[in-house]
Amino acid sequence: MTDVYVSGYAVIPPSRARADRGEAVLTAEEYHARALSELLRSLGISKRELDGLSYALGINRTLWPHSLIWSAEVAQNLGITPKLTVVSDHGGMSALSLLFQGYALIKSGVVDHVVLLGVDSPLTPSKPQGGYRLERTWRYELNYELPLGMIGPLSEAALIARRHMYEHGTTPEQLGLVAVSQRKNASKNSWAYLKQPLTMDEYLKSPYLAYPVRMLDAVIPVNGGFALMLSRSDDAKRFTDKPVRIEGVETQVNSEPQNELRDITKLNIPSARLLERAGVGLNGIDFLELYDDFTVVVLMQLEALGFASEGGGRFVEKNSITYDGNLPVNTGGGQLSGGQAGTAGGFSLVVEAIQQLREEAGGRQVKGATRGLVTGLGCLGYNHNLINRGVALLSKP
Amino acid sequence: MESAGATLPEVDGVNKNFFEGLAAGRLLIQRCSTCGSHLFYPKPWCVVCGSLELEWVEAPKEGKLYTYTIINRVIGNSKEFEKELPYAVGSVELDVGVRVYARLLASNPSSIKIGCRVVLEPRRLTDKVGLPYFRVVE
Repeated sequence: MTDVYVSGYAVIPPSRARADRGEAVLTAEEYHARALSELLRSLGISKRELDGLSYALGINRTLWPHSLIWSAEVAQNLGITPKLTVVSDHGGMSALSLLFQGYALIKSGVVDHVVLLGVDSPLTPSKPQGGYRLERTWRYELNYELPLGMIGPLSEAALIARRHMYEHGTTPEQLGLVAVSQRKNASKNSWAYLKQPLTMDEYLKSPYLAYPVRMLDAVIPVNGGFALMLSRSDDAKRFTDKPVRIEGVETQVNSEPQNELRDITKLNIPSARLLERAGVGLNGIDFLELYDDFTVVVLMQLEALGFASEGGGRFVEKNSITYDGNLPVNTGGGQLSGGQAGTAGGFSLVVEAIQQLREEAGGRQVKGATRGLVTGLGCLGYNHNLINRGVALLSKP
Repeated sequence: MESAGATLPEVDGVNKNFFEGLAAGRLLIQRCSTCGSHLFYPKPWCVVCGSLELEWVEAPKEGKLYTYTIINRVIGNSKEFEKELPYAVGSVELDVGVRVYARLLASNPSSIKIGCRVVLEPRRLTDKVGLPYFRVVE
């Protein structure tokens, strides 16, 4: 069976659609076009040449309402004819889910290439529906959370963070270290949305939205677009001399349904079977790109992956997680500083890993990086944490 | 109908008993007739054993607080809730083995702590819809 490589990528820098600040005001359709255009430029091929390839298209469902039959509309807007399309509804795990589906399609020989377009424009919705939310949310949130006055993911994350403090003695300063370290990484990333330095004092003064979650514990929503080209091993070399190998991807949806009294601070990421199959130990991983919708979720992943048996909070106190630290995490600033482009936010972490492994990360380059682990987490479950969990291992060939 | 100010649940065949029970002052939850598991939130079958035979039983009126949050801003919900800021929401653990999200009432907010005892004091919105509110035992 063929190996699968990332043969090209594209980033359309994030925007809050503030025309008054000179920021781009674009729709999701425009992000699709720009991301594909930039991808083709990176591959060195024309649209006509793409038309001649055997490929699939993968897209994420955007936050704002879109048509029932969505992938064909995207293909029509772009004038492309993929052999098949896959659509992810996995929220924060969408990038990892599409990576997994694309990997499987190439491995199985269905197609030679997969184009993934990760796009969302929550700040320029096509037509907001309802008074206060872009999307129709989960029924459990409509029925058992919103009538109580809960405020969506912020309050769901706050329930987890408060329990994490109770279980592990996690302090505000430890959560702050995640935000401050990632901002340092973002300061060296031209496409991060927030690049100005952040101090611990500024973090601690940031207002609570849902105690103990402060504004700076949460992602900043942005518009943005990303594209990836996945290719069979022999084809990847056609497009680049710096292919990045996908060593494997694993995902899992939901866990411990039989245990209503589960520990909501524990994230069962399916990393163990991925690492075992790849024959890679934790010390074989040079950097981590961990899905970071909230600071506490980064700590939970350091625990779940096996890096922080003493608790994620104590780990970030004793270690450095900046790009030049002993365990670099979210080397481009993650979504906390880079911005979260709706359900495409996870693509920023995949793209950052690719830039690191192609040695294109400039001032934030992790020296000697040959392998990175990327996660994608989505869907804050009822009495649970993020129940869509994906993990991928990327490396230099 | 009392103005909840707010966001009403979508009542359907699966959750009707839960909301009607609370309107009548009782917290009803599902119990699997086959394996005996208690479930929450209301489900269309038993998520443990897959049985479709679920019965409604009254839960204990007292529980303990598993975790909580204080809502300081209303984002992504009805602005009507701004009148009540700040307010507490928590996950109440019942000794039948389930947790239920609920509004927390406390005359002294500093008494809201993980592990504290809470007692059911449902809020009735309509004849058919009540919400799980619990009062902290101080």
